Amino acid sequence: MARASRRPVSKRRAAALKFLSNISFENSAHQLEEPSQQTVVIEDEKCPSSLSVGSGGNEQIFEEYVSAKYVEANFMASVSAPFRERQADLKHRAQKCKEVKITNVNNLKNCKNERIMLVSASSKIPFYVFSFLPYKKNKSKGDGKKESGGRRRNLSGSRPLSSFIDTLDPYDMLGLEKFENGQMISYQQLLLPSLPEKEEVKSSAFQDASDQVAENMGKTVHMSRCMSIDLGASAKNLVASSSPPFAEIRGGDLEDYGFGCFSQIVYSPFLLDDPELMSGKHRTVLTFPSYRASVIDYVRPSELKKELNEKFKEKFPHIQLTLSKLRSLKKEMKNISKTEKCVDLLTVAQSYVYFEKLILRKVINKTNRKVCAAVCLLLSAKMNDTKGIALKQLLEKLESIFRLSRKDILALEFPAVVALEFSLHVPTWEVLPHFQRLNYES
Amino acid sequence: MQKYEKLEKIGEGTYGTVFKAKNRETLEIVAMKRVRLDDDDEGVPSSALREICLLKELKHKNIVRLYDVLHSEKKLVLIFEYCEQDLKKYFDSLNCDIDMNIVKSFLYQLLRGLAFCHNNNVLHRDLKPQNLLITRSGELKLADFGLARAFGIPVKCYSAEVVTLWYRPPDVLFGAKLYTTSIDMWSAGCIFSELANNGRPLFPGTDVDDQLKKIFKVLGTPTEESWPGVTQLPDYKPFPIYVPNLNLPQMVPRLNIKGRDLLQKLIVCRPSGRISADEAMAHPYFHDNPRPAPKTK
Repeated sequence: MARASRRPVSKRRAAALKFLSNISFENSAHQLEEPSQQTVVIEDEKCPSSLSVGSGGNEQIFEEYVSAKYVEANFMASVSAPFRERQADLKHRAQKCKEVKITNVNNLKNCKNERIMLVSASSKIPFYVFSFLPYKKNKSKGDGKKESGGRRRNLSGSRPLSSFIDTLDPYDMLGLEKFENGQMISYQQLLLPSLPEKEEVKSSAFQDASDQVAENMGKTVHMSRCMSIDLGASAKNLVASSSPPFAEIRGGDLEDYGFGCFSQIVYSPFLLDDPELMSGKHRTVLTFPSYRASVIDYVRPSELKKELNEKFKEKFPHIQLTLSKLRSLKKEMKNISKTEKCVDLLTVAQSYVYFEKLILRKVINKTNRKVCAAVCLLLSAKMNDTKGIALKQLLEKLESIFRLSRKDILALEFPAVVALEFSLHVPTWEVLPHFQRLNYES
Repeated sequence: MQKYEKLEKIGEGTYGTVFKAKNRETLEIVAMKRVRLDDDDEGVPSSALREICLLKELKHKNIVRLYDVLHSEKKLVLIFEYCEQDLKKYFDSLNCDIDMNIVKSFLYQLLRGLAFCHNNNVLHRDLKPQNLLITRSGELKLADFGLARAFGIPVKCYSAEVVTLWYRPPDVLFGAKLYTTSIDMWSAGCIFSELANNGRPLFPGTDVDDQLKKIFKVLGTPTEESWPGVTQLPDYKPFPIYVPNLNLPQMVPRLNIKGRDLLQKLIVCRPSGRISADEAMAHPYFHDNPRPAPKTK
């Protein structure tokens, strides 16, 4: 009690007690704080030893609570600081109060999101106040402040259903040439194969077996080369290069197909949605002779999100989409397959490839990202045997989940196919990693 | 539309009208498939989408070439290479028995086109004489990829409503939702037999049950022993037990022994028992003389 003796104990205690009795007993309907909370007054019949307080112990306990941050800051302020104004404020707030529950100390476990006041059994004098604050992953008070400083949250849920097709040209929207009425556009230049050509040159109509073996061997070698370059190195190369990852060299250069066939954009399933971009810098990897361990610190989700988005932005400065938005859109696309039988995970995986390719083409922006995600899923479904009633259901689902009009989805369908250069038949290795990830997650 | 001059109607495809047309600049004759977009509330028909996107990747001498895609607000026009006739019409135009070397040549070209599709991860899923185009010089080309799909990742979600009945394999007739290149090999077998018989179909069933019955009467009713897993297929139902009665000399009298052997390897009820396109091309049937002279008439 060294501390207590330094301070004007009796004065402070009196103030505290006066304050407490004011709020809980002067008017039993009075109540502090947020409307969602309720006060529980616990009668201290069998006071647990750790909580038991003599008349002199109050100081000590309050000190502990300051350090443990269990008691809300404003409340502590009102105890220690001059509290008249505070009191007025509280009285005002108390209009909103709900109820005061009186319960036994043994029921303490059941309290959630409540303010607890312990009162002594004999004289009903409050001696102990604290709050249960539920731990929430993303919506704590601090986060809200952080967020308001940065990007504003898009309240897509409450936005009215609007059609943008009336005002915007769907082709223009995807960075394509505008479409004029009555015009017939030829897409001949897009019909060159995007996959490396596997043309057999045979002089005779019939090839013998050995020829064929050779051809097959060539094929497999080719494939493995494809894999190693695209999956392994491309992402790192792109990051390493100082110039913007994708210099736009569209048009004219289409003869040069091979790996860069896709208009010089090398696609890799992990390029955008990099599985490494999960825990950010808050991870320490410890490499031991026979195993590896990662220590992942706790970090506030909002901070992690910010950091990952910044990293993503650094890597892809031209992409008008954050990593978190990409992931949330992908999640929504996946959720459709959960509720609808018409869409399987393979369809979703393939639609991810389409969508990410559109992003890499830098045609996705804030206005069209949702409708493009919907279109990609629709196209993938059409390529994967979704038809008839199932296709109708899918369209309805897309309308409701993404809050779009069918008109918008269909208006962007063909432009999206053109933007993808008719390359909807994508190699298995581009789809498989997405598919495996989806399978693993579900 | 100015680029092409419409000449005459050739036929009605799965999703639009096909015309013969002439390129005004090069005077080249092409086939023009018109797809209407306006009266459809599902957007671009999936068959058109598949045809464009798959044919873009499949450039092969035995696969019909897609030259151009024209698009306007209300319609989509696909420009294909023009072939004089399809195999069905070819059969109809025959006055006498088909030359067995032409049979061999056509089958080889069919297998070569198919092998190319399969090596590029594409299942055709609608092989039939109407979809095999024949040029004046005796080239055969696979056409109509409106039902085709990729098969790289096996999932039990493939449509069982594929392939015209007579050319549909027993596993798909039993509602199989997971199949692979073997689906096209069965059709190729049926077409092979049809080629050797001047266009008389092998299993001309009237409905699914009749189709299966016709197949089982020749190949025997499959059992769990001969085809493990057959009873687990979605639409499986027991059929009368027929014993295999594969009398090939009677079925395809004009086909030589090696040809019969190849046919026997193509029409196998158990999907995994069917020969692949690559293997079929290496079959001894194609080894011996004469190198087929691909001249039709």
